[in-house]
Amino acid sequence: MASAAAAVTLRRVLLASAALRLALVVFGEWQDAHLEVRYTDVDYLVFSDAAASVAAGGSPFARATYRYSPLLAYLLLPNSLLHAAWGKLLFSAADLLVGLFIDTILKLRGIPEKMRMWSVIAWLFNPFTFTIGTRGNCEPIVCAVMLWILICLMKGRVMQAAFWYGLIVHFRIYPIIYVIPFVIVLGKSYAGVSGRPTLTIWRSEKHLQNDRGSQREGPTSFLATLWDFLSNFITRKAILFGLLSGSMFFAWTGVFFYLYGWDFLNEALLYHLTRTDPRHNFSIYFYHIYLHHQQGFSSIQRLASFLPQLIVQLALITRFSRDLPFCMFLQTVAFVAFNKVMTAQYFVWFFCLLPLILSWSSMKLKWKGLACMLVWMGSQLHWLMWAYLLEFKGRNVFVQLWVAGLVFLAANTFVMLMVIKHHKYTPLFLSSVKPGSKVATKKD
Amino acid sequence: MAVAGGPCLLAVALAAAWISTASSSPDQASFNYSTAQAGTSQKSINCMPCSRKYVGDEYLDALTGQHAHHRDLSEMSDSTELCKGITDDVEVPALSELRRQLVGEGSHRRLVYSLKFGACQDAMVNFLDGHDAHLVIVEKLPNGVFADPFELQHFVERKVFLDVAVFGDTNLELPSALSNRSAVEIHFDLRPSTSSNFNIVIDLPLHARYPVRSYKLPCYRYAVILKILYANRAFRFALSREVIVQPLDASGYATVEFDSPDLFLRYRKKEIQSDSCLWVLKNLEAAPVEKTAWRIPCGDEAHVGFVSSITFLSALVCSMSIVLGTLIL
Repeated sequence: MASAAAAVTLRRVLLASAALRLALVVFGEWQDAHLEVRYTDVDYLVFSDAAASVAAGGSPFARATYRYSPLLAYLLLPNSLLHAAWGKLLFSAADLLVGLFIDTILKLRGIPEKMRMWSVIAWLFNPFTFTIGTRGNCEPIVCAVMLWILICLMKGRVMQAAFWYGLIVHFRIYPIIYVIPFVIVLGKSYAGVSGRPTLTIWRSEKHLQNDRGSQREGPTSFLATLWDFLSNFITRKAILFGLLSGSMFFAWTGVFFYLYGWDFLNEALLYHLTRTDPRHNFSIYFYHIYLHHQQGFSSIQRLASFLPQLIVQLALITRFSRDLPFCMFLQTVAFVAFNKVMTAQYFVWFFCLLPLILSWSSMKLKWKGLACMLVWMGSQLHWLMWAYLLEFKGRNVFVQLWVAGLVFLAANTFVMLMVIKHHKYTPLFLSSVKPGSKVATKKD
Repeated sequence: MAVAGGPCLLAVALAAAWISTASSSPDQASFNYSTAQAGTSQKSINCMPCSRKYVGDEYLDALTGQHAHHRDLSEMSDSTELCKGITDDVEVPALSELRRQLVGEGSHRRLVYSLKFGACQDAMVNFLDGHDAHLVIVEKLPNGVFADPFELQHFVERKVFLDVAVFGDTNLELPSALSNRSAVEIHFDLRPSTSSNFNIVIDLPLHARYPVRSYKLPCYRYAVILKILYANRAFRFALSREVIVQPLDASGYATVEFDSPDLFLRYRKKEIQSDSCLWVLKNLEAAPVEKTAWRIPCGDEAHVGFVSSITFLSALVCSMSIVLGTLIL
């Protein structure tokens, strides 16, 4: 009865989300046809043109600024053959799939249905989320695959996880930042005799405050983590995961290099690794890049911009890798915040992971949660205000815009620290070398 | 000119020799249909085969020195033979008024053209009844301004323009640089129904790039600033290590100025013989429009030092805060 009620509730939430997205897709088609300002994202037109080029027997890279895997153009072939809105429907469906996967992951970890629903709603009715997919941005597909990889790991399907991981790194590159945490969790303590991992089950909020003792469960010293990583690395599952995902990445890359040559390599891969976009964006580096763009960048400058990113990623991995969803969330926030280019579409990369950690946070919406939201959104709106003055009013506010970028980085840092402070560190998998340590579930 | 150093001097001399040779070549004179020969009615009319879609691409070869796409000029240069007999007894409408304004604010604006034909309405209707006629506008965009070809294609799909093409550098992502010159060609269908009283208003959306600031190039990378003064077909060259693409004012803005556009009437008789289909291209000999200038905000080179250092310092402070947070929180 309880599970039937839960299924109905999830079904209703998914149906309502689907209806919302369908309405937005229809509205978007109308707006594009009748109004000067398009609803559809420029990127969607790029994907569609690339797909049309493939449909005509050509290369997707014939379309200028197509900087994605050819797989995306293939996925959007029905745009030319059926209807131009096919891609948007596909991305919106991926959106809904993310909601479903969030529910699956939280159910596997014993989260009560009411909390699960709120977590799912936090994704499905997040304005960033439903506009991104319906405007034709492909990020929901990446989010869905990342969550599917997490589900596969949680269910012990390592080879399947490796298959999708190799594919998604080929597709979008940024998920490479998760490779070390994946290898760490696949270490010696991953699975027991049965071959299936044992998940830590959620405990009630009361225990979040009382159980401070387990806060430092994971290894804390860098050397301990390094030794842990190295000794874990030689486990069969970790090696197989690395080999299969690496092979998948190189296989897809190799196939498309064979088909499309250097166009593919330059546009879909190397461009993202060397990208320096001088146009204004949220990144603190944009003004520095603009002022230096014509002269180029020295090795020291490149290193200086890469170092903070590297330091943060290593620190987060060292401290939190076993609490895999939490580590992935923080890594993604940091990756986006310290990147040389930052646009709003990147935010969904961590929005899809946020619902997975909410249940382990002692931060209440009132007032710390609201404070974090206001600080993050407020600093973003502040940046957008200066960007509007620069781009649409033509005022010279480069310095103010750059300072707003610094403020946004500070806001991201503040939110990360708040989230870390209030999070109950909980390894995703119970160590198989410690039998009988499974914790009983206590519901509210 | 600011030139220094022995090897630089040699390179300058070689480049200047190349340029002076090139400027005397008849191939540089690719403006057969230009207003430079104003008043010479024979030369203001040309013909081109229907298979040739656009007239503006040749502009770009001269503007940017991109000879890779240099067309065979014999297609245009000796078209008086082609035009024989076609233009006899045809009363072609003439332009009586042309205005051009830059409308809007910020990085995204519109060039708005208002045109009036001088012919009386009956003459216009008679002409359009017997001919397919298109207004062709070729707008040579200054450095720092670009047109988005995909946006303009949207106009064609919505039937605002009959056709549109952008020639030259359409890289939307780069800041302004020497290679950024481009030209836009708009084809507007002239029909009695579409041109009310033959007053036409055309909007061309344009976008600004970030201007390049003044800086010194290394010796081996020369900036050849080529300025074509279209009205009197004079060429001026400046060879310099100093790259100043747009003049900057003290308040941090670069000003770009638009040249006068070229307007043509392209027409052909409605009953076309497919084996001898020709467009007649008449230069409407539009008088130079009033100056159009666009002030674009520009990053300040004086900020380089503190922007870079504070950027890197902020990134370091934030990253160390997070590292500390992972240790103590």
